[in-house]
Amino acid sequence: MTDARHALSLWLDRLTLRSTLSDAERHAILALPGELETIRPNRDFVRLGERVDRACLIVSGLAGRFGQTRDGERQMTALHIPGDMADLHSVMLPNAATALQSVGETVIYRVPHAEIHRLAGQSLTLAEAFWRDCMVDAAVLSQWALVNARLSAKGRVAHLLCEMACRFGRGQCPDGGVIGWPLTQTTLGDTTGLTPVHVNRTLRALREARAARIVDKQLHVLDWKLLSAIAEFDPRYLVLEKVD
Amino acid sequence: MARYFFHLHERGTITVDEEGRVFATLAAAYAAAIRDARAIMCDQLGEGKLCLACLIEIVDDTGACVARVPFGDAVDVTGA
Repeated sequence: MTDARHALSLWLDRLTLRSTLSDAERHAILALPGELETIRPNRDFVRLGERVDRACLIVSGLAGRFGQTRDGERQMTALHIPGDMADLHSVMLPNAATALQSVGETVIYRVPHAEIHRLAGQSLTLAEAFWRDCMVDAAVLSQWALVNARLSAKGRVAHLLCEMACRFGRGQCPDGGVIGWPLTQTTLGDTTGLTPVHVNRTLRALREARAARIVDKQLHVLDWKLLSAIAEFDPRYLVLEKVD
Repeated sequence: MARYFFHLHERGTITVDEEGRVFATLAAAYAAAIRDARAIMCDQLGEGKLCLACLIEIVDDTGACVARVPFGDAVDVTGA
């Protein structure tokens, strides 16, 4: 299976997690044309204010959506894993008010907006599935706004670790679970609104509490119950199930 | 550009920075350490504490200490 087909099948998994699609609709998603591109670590691949005519499906690696202050301080407003169409919303809003950067080395598949429009026009079910996909991103962002404004440093970092563990594990996160973790302290700080030394201090606290540990670019969940209690984590905002 | 490591000394414990960050100059690294110190002090204040003797040690990639930033240097305290 090519990388593109693999990524489209991951996106299809994400869409069908929440929406029911017919065989024909599934095939239409898997047949979407596009262009593969490898992005080196920490590179912007959609610039702030850029007008785009393609949406970016993450094939491998990790991408961050961000805004930036005049001083150049970045705030991540979303993290996108393989199988996420990172800027599906750009089909409706092509002038990029927020931008996208790679976290580690990332491969993307750029799908023309025109192709997504075509599918949405052909099938109300697909249009609703796309709409739902965007609304899940919005629900996650709402939760991030609460967490990053109101929780302590420890709570914010714990919440992000819980979220990523859940997303990679599709909701299953047993003690001892390990996921790849390409984020630097700077990127983790840009996501939680913390400085890098503060991030390091916070990770140390979570390690000493035996809740979670990050070593050699891997996140080890040591005690899911403790980590999710520190994070006040409730996975329902991730909508990891069919929406009726 | 050079990589600098920011080790946090806080009340007898050291949180080692194993990753480091790249800066064009030591002055830029020092300015970042000041921001880091202030952010941690904000966190301490949230718990009703403040440690002006805590410090960030900036180390270059040979392991040599190139600067020390006590938290007291990062804040102008008045009325105490």
